[in-house]
Amino acid sequence: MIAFASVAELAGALRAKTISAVELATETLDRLESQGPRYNAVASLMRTRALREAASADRAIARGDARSPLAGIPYGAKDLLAARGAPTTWGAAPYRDQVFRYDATAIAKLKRAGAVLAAKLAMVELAGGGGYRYPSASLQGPGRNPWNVDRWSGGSSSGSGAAVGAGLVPFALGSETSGSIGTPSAYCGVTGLRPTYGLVSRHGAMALSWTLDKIGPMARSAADCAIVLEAISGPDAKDPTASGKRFTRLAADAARDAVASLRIGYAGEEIEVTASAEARGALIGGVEEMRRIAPRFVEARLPEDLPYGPLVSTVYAAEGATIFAELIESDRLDLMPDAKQKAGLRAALEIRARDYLAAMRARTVLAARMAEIFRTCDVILTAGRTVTATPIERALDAPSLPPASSAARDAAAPADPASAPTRPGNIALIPAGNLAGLPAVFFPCGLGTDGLPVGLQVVGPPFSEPVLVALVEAYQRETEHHLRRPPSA
Amino acid sequence: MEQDTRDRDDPARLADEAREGIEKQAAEIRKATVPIETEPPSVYRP
Repeated sequence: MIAFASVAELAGALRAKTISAVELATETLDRLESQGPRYNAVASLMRTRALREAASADRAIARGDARSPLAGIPYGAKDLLAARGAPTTWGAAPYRDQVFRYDATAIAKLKRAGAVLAAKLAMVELAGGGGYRYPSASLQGPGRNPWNVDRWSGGSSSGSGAAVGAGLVPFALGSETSGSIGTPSAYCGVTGLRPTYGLVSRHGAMALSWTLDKIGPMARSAADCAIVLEAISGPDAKDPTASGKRFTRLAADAARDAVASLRIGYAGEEIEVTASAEARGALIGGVEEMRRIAPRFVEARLPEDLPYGPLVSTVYAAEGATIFAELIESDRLDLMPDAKQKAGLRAALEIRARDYLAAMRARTVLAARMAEIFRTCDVILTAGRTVTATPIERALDAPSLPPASSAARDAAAPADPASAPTRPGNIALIPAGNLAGLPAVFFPCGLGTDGLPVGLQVVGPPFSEPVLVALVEAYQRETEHHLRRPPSA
Repeated sequence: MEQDTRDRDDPARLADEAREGIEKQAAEIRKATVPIETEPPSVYRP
């Protein structure tokens, strides 16, 4: 009954007393224990803590003072978030025995809401800092996709994506520096919300990049993400970068009005030209569904004169190498399996201050240019990822598969001086959105021709989460892509 | 350019490639001009 149930459905069952929080936690723990290894999704099972928190939630529900819909709801947290007394490995062998004596603020806030921490979930080691070549760059092994265990679950929030996608937990916490919520959400067919930089406290989270890292929910729907975000957003004296703002959902009427008048910025060529043959049809179908829900489409394109990839890589490599300098300069680095990642971490120590600061200056320009774009549209719509989940053994820097369209094939052919070069559209929205600290919601829009999930993303101005959630909720009321289950789950 | 014949996961090759990657990224970033009137970009707060 509980697998794939939404947070709202579970909260209703708990209040109706058709199930207790302890029963729900026990069933969740058993599923995580028995099925988690299939996906290499679990870093630590939190049985003792979960049963204690569930019993506390049952008492609160019985007293009638469980105000949050999260009371008694089990969840998993990416293993970069500290949980008091439990291993917090950051997915990396050098930190295998690391234990913190406190909870990360996001976990502490969920505990106050009555949620039940059932598991720490697997992740790519050090959230991918340094740049890894293989999905096996994780202490728990390669993240396996619930839709096909020979495919990758995505990174770096690998276990969060797989556990939600397999119906092992109703929601999970992930984190994104540049793509680490978006990729596993797209690959595993779940809904992920990357909050505005500073909306959610990062106290107790592993830092990969002080100026890029965000903590956000991954769940079965935008509605569930919103419930979690309401609980974890807001001020935190322990995180000086926290904005102090809180997320609050729009009321139903306001949400309906907002969606009806939204201007959807769209370019299109990043889907119609660049997407893989497997993903393209579902992406185009998803865009057309969105057009029926929010019909005011306007053209919007990222500036084409900014090097998004080099900018984001330079920022997080320089900051990450500084954070992990002691590890990088020690023999313990060799405990990590991915040779490319180790080489990347070592090389990043040599990034010049001049280049890091130049990247930071360019971010100022980017933020201003994004603000200009958001004067002409309210949100930008594009692919979550333009491909479906990649094979588990394939190098992540291997040449990509040929794109779908004849236009793209033509682009790869010898240049015709008379033909215009293909424009990039909004293919760089993940690095651009992260560099500018913008919120995003990633959501499923169908299955590819290979039977794997395909998803879209919407990105808005800083602190536009209420509008983004309203838009994706409207989409998910009219479609059923987010309700699909992996065949074997 | 001469092709690198070392195994693609060879640590020495990866180290060379990582350093080259950083230089290429730096070159791309330096091409992006930032007008001086955008300063100060810093988020530093004393």
